[in-house]
Amino acid sequence: MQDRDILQLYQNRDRQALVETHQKYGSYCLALASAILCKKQDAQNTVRDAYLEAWQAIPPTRPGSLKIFLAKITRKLAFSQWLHYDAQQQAVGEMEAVLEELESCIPAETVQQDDRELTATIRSFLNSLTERDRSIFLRRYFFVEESTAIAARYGMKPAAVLRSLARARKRLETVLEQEGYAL
Amino acid sequence: MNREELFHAIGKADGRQLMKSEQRCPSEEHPGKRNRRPAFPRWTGIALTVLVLAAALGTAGFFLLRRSQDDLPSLSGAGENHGQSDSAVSTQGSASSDNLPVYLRMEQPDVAEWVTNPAQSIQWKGYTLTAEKQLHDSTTGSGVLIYSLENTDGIPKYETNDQGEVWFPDGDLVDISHFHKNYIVKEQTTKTKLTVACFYRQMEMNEPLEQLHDPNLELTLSEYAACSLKEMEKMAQKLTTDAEFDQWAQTLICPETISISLDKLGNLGTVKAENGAIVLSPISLFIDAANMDSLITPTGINVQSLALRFQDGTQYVVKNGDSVNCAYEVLEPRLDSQNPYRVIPPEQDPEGIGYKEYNWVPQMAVTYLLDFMVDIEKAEAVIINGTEFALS
Repeated sequence: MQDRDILQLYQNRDRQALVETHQKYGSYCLALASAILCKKQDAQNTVRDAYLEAWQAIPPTRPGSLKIFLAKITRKLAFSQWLHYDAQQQAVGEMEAVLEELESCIPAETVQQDDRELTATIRSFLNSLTERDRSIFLRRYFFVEESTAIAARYGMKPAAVLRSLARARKRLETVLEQEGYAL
Repeated sequence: MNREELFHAIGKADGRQLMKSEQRCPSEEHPGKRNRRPAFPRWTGIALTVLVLAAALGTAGFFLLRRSQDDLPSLSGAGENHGQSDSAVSTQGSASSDNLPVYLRMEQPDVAEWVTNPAQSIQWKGYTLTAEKQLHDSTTGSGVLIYSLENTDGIPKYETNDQGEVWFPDGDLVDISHFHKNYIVKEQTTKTKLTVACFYRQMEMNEPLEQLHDPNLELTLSEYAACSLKEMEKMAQKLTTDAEFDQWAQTLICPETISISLDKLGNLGTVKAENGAIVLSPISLFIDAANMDSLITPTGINVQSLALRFQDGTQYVVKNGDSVNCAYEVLEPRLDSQNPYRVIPPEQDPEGIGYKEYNWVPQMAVTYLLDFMVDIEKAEAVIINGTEFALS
């Protein structure tokens, strides 16, 4: 079923929307949740919660891309769950490596700014990257993919992916400093 | 600001940019074409394929299953009843005269006549990769290749599971062109030599669809044989320009490849059922359910239980539920597109996705790569989901 037809089911408050969403994007969302959480049961629960959040949000929201809309919700919920693991010192998997890499971009002492400003800074940073570097950055830090999987996706050498990520992180560090995040 | 806040902020990236990142080959003019030589560890590729297929079918249509010793008889076990039928289920008798794994039977006279010696070897960065012995069945396009990896300085850290599958956690050192699973041959492994029984199915992972059944099995040493992942990361930080880095990365590519022509290998002999829809060879079992309504569901072939019955009344359980008592279960990908990574022209793309993924259709065929040898002359029937199909 086309996204526009699924979205129409949401608009009509037809619960078939959830069935169609699961059929079309269930595995996609589960892959994303699993990349963050590693625990299959928790990943499945997260995806189910994501459906419910989508059900509550549409309408009034009418996403341009249902796929990305679901990805954003799934990622947010999965990360919340991961923070819960982290608090209980149960965190495992690729997520910790992703956060460590991001930590290397943050100036040693930072000035607190509000979420909106940080979001705008990140968007500006992403716009400053080449399309290829941006896509690689998002696969790693949005979708939590391993560098080897990214290399497979884009038909690249793993070393070239690592190089691109290192270049993007350096750039992010510079942008954060320029935008006044460093004390 | 902390790292969690930064990760959270990346989650608010522009949806169009996220959608573009889903496109598989953003920098290639002809995205369907890939490099001939694999550019990443095969296990990663398999995992990715599972995800792609799972996404396409809604539920996973492709499984790489491991044997469960709890659910199924082991190769060295005695007769057991596993509750799926009233018959005693035995791993002994005709399934294999001595219950040795197939790769340990290659020296035996009754098997040796089918074994070929590729006699090919390559050397790179201190490693020697040698294709030693091979048992290939051209009817089902599957086989076992014994290869060894040697290094006088020692073999890097590898891991194995209870069934003997072996892999390198920091990146596979050997790239293999077809779907495969590696099992350690402990009897021929030392600190400086790792011997592996590679069960493969003649299907390419990363090639255009017309090459899905490529006649050559190719092995080469991967970038990880030349440089560890950690070293690669260090170099990525150290080298300041792309040109400098690319030049360095070129030095990681092994210049040689072992290439085995599968077309020239023979047929081990088969028995068949259902007019050829079921084919049993000494090392594999192929089922094409396209015309077998009882095995078909909307998502494709559905084999819940599978056993071989022999003349002496014994049965060998190949599959029971999610557990598979063989080296490898491979569902055939069936595609209705000749271009796996097709970019959609804007006029055909109202949703602005920009590309089209594989179009998978329900899979009707499956191959089981057996890790024991079957005496096909003594095999009487294949039992699928409780229904018996007589072999002849």
